[in-house]
Amino acid sequence: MFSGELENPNPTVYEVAQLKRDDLSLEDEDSIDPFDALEIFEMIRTINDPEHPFTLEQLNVAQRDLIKIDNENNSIFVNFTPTIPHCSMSTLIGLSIRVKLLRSLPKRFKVDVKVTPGSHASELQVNKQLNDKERVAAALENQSLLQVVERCIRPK
Amino acid sequence: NMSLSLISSLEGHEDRVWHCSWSPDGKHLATCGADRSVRIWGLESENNWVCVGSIDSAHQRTVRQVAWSPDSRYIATASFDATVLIWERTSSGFENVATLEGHDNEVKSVAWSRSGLLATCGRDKSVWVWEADSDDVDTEYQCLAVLTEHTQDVKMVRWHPQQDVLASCSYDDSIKLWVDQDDEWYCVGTLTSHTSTVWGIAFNSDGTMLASCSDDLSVKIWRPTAISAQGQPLWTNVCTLSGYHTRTIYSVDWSPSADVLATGGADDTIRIFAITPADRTISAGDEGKQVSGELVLSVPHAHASDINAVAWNPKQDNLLASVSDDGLVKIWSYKP
Repeated sequence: MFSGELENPNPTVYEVAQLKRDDLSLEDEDSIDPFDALEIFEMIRTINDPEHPFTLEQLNVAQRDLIKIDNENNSIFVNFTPTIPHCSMSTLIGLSIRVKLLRSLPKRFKVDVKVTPGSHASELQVNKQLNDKERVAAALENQSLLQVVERCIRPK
Repeated sequence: NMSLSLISSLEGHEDRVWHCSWSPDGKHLATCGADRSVRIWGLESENNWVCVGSIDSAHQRTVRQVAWSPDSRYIATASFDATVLIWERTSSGFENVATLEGHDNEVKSVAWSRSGLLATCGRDKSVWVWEADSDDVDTEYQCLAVLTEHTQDVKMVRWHPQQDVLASCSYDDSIKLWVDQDDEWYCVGTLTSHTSTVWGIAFNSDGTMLASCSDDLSVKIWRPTAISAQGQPLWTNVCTLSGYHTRTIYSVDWSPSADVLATGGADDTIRIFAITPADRTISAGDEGKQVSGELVLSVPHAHASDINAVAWNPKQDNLLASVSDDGLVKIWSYKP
């Protein structure tokens, strides 16, 4: 699964945009440490693609506009866009995003990670697997899979 | 003045607690989780629940579920390490007396029937039925059947409270019922109505109703509404409770003394539903079989994270246990 020819040998690489907090209005200042989409994006933009020497940000797999936050209900919704609709790495990418957020966010947050609607041929299956916490827990007890995830989320 | 009040919040597990199970005599609660341990909780004095035993490093990986034998003498543990272990309660603790091997990978559930049969299920999409074969010295467990009709991993197995009827639920969104006829186990019903993973199932105390809970955010009640040509009850969905839980519902359990359900899930909330009417007869025809359910109580923030299991004490009326990703085991008193 992780060797041999690349599925998408020449992915489009995007310029990494300057990150600014310009259009983000300050949220309720009385609430405890509210998060915004930019902060969540900062957590996942440096995740490495499993097969290319680029980050999820550089491949436009992760985008700030695909992150939604409901601080009141402590829920975070992250979409990601695989570079090709048959990408077999999608589950691994989603798992890496999930693990990175699990380790970076306070425990009170509920996180949904899903592929951007219409961006993957097996959208429902990928989403169902990624949001089944028992499968995620079992996958993360698998040492070889965990190592692959660690490689993805380790900053270069 | 209905209420669910907290009696005890029990610390001890070092990670997510996945499951809890009361001993049939109602005296002990067993819990298990990602810290690979099993803990046993008992009453020290009035309303004072304490840890009275534990099995540390019971398995190589997460202990997903724990079940008691009908005589409260043994517990069975199902683990992601692909094994099921049987432990005997001795004066000095718990002793591993048998190992059930056969599943390809994660075992997700184990259940003991009233007659002493064991059922297990897991990620390999199969349901196994086991029988204890004892002589004076040893007990060995023989596999009676490997049932492979689910198309995805099987999340939970539960036995009917009186008969050797087994129910299983799955990531394939279905529930299946299994019986033994002439030493052959086969599927007598596939219950489809849920639109996502069915995480939990529970029979009520007399076995006339089955409740299920799902990632589709609904709880469903199933009853036998007809008899098949082979003489088997045909179960159909007679009630759907939706619009309450806002995230995946992981657990459902019937009160032993009333048609009352407790549910828990990823919205950190425990809910209590009253189910009516309670017409117990099984006969052909749909008339009078419709059931209605009403939310009677909702406890938001019952835990600080996902609630993975809720279970009513089988003997002490209105005592409910819950376990969570927050690592806590809680005991509640329900006043109807």
